[in-house]
Amino acid sequence: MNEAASATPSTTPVPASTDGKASRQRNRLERLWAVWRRKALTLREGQLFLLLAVIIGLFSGLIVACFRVAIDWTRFWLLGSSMEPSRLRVLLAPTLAGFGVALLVIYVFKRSRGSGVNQTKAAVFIFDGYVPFRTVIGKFITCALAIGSGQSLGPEDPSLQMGAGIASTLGRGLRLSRDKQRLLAPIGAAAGLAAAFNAPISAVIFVIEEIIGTWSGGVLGAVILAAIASVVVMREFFGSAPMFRVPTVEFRSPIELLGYAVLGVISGIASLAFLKFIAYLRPRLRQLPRWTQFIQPAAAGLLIGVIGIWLPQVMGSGYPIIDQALHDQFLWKTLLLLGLFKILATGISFVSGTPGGLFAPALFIGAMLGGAVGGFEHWLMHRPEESIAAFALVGMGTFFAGSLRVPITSVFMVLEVSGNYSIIVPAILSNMIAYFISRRYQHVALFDFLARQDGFFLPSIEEMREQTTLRVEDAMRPGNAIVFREDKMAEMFREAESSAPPQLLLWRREGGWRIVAREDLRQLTPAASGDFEIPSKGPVPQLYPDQHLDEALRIIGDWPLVPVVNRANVEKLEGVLSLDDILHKYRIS
Amino acid sequence: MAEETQARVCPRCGNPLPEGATECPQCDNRLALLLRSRETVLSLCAVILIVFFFLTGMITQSYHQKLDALGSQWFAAGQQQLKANDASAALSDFRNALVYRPDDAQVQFQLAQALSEEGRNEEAQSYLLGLLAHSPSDAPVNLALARIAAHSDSETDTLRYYHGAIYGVWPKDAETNRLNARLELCRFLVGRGDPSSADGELIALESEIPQQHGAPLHEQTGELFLRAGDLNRALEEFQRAMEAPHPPLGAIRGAGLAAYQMGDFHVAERYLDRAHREKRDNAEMDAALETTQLVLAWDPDARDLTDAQRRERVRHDLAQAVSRVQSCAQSAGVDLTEKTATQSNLATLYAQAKAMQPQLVDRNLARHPEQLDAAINLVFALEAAAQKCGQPTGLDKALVVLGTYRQGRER
Repeated sequence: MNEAASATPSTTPVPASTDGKASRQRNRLERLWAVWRRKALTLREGQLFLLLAVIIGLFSGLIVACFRVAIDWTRFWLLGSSMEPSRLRVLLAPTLAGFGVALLVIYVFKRSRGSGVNQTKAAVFIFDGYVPFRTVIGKFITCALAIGSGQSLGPEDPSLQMGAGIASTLGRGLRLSRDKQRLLAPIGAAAGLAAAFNAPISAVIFVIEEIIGTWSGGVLGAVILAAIASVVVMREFFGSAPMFRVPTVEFRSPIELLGYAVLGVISGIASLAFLKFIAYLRPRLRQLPRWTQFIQPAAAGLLIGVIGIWLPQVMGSGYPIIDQALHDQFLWKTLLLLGLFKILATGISFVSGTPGGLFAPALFIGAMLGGAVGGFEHWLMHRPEESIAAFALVGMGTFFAGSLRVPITSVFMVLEVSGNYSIIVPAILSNMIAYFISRRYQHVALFDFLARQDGFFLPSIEEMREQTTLRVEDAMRPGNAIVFREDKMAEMFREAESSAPPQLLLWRREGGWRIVAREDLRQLTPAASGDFEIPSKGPVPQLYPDQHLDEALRIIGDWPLVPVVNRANVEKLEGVLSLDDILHKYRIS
Repeated sequence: MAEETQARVCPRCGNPLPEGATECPQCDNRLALLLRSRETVLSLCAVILIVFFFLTGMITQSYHQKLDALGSQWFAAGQQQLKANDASAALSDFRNALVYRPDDAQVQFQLAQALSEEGRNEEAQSYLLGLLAHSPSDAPVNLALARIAAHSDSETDTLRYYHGAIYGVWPKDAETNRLNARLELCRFLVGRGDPSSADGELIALESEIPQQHGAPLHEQTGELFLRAGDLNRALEEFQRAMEAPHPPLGAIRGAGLAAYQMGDFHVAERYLDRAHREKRDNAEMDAALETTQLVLAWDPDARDLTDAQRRERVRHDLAQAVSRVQSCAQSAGVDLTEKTATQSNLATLYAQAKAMQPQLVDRNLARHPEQLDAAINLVFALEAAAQKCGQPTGLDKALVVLGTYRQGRER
């Protein structure tokens, strides 16, 4: 405004040349433009961050839409449009594509290897959120080729990494601060995953559960915005129908929980077998001579082709097959067979270093095992006409929880995909059983041991999730201080005489909590106490029992002792806390 | 300190200057200079976003078109295979079509049909149950499920699905399809030997048959009534079928058989003879006609007989029965002359017949006309006893049939 005011033309005539006048006029306009631009177009960092989240979501949605089309086009080109391709195609397509993928990964897109989840985590925790755009292109091409050729992998984890890559590229382009750039990768990851899944809530929870590890308020809003923006884009191009056409499912009676518990046990064992298979074979294959890395994806492709001759359903991401299983289009024996062979095929594909995700295969295996358990149960109970959709749906989440160790995401995913809350109880029961079995016999989660095999020591989100938060009430000492009140001075002196602590706490109505040295107090005579100015230090900061201990550590500063008081009555002392108390608590925990 | 810091930072972009450099290398780059402003980068993003959006739109549109085309292509191929009676190939084609058109009920139904034709009823049932859950009143789905249930011997389900087909919604030709569904249900019930349920359904079917062009349906209904044992209704249905300008041969034959089983041999002979003249190679019909003609020739209870004719027939029938017993005893190794307390029924009857034969002279019969009835009863008893030696033929069969109807009448 000041600049604008100063730019107001003066009424005093100024002798000047025409050029000078024009120059001043131009300068004035430039200043006006600068002011307007600053006020109207310049965004604050917070606003820019939210706008950027939407842009990231839109870009992620677009690239994931193209990625989905690219996978299918590759499949049509390499395997044909039939679900039962000819033997020659089934054997040759994944083998040759595997060889091509190996060349691309080794020579052109070196960071495209793996599923994408750990790479995004590494970007967040190690590389300040840096994901090169080259990786986005590499992931797009290599994964489309691998999944489209029939390798038993899925498009979600790569989509997650592509989203993170786009976010990182935009962050760098806008020269955001390092802190903000670090936050952008999870935002992009959520957008990519939400677009791939067509399920924004599950994507947001997965990113928080597996990538970030904490419910950070600063990033949550942006993550949700990006996820929703990407899903909106996907729905624009692929319709609003969910990923799977889930028929109406219902939970009828508590007796059915027995079946779901059995499903939890079976999925837990299956996910454990899957994890052990990968944990055992992956490091051994990586230790083989370098030249074998050129042929490992091709060899995996050939093995999958051999399985595909008899069971072509295990090839690729398998979404149409999940859809068919949800609609009772397989017998329970077939479903069991498909589930078991998918574990094998996915394990082979993944350990060979072929880029691609584990989400879709995990959902496939879960749906097949769930369907098999449901079908067997109905066969046993002579209810063949009942749908197995509920079991298949719960099974999807169950194997997901057991193998990827994201129990909250898996429950929400089942609910979001089905849009049906009546199966929440079986879903939780089954998921928890599978999760606990997997956790009991495989201590390190899949993404954690994969990262360690790659030489990264990323924070274990599972361990972070289960860490106990220490609070003030855990470390404070009750009754080890004498509280002086100005209205009870006689008693105060008597107690001070006999007390051991060198510092005493004093409460003053005006001035709060203060510290008094016992020696200073002894020098005063009790008779004159009422009118004496007691030498004290303060006010001392006060703590509350529910505060985190690390927060207390910051607050305590150089004070030898701080009072822990009741939130409803700050005069009431709940205990005292010293630096030694805090350190002692940290040491023993 | 502040001056030193300012001296090491580019005044334009704010980035630190490399040591010893006087100009910022990033600001020297014109593109970098352009992209220095966030507004420029955001504007550029907006432009790229718009272009990318339209490109993606074109790509996905082409993708959806391709999927639709593939779905139609596989569906058409499947239908052709099904027409060519290659259910196995059709199965694979329909499965492929279903991947590209997952919500298409028609594809699912055809796939279930192909599975059913392949004998994979359990899988077909899965698809059909899925369709039924979506549309419980879909009559073709109910009918397909009924056929599968009929194979699996589940009578309750079969009846439920057949009724679903009868009372459900047909996409076209509802009346005809409903009639056919009921006809199928009746066949199922008759085949299972459940005449009471079948009779109820058949009566309902009978009332639904259209006036015109109903001859084949009347004929089929008559056949089912005949198999269910409701002979009167069977005869009525056959007679209705015969009202057509060109009555079907099956209806004439059926009417003859119905009348024959009812014991109305005059009517039976008329229809069976007519059917025989039109088509001669039906063994069952020929046998019935022969028996009918013999019955009519040697029935001692025929209404229009004189006493002499009746006596003649009784004597002839008794002689035939005795002869049948003799040949039966010979083949079975039974001694008909044995006179012990434990002698067989055959021997006892034979002895009675031999004793009665001399008494069947006109003079004696004029004094004791009741002996004629006793002789007739003995004839039927002899023929019945001789059946243990094998199925009778010719006049023996006619006498057995007569005996059966006489017993029925007396009951």
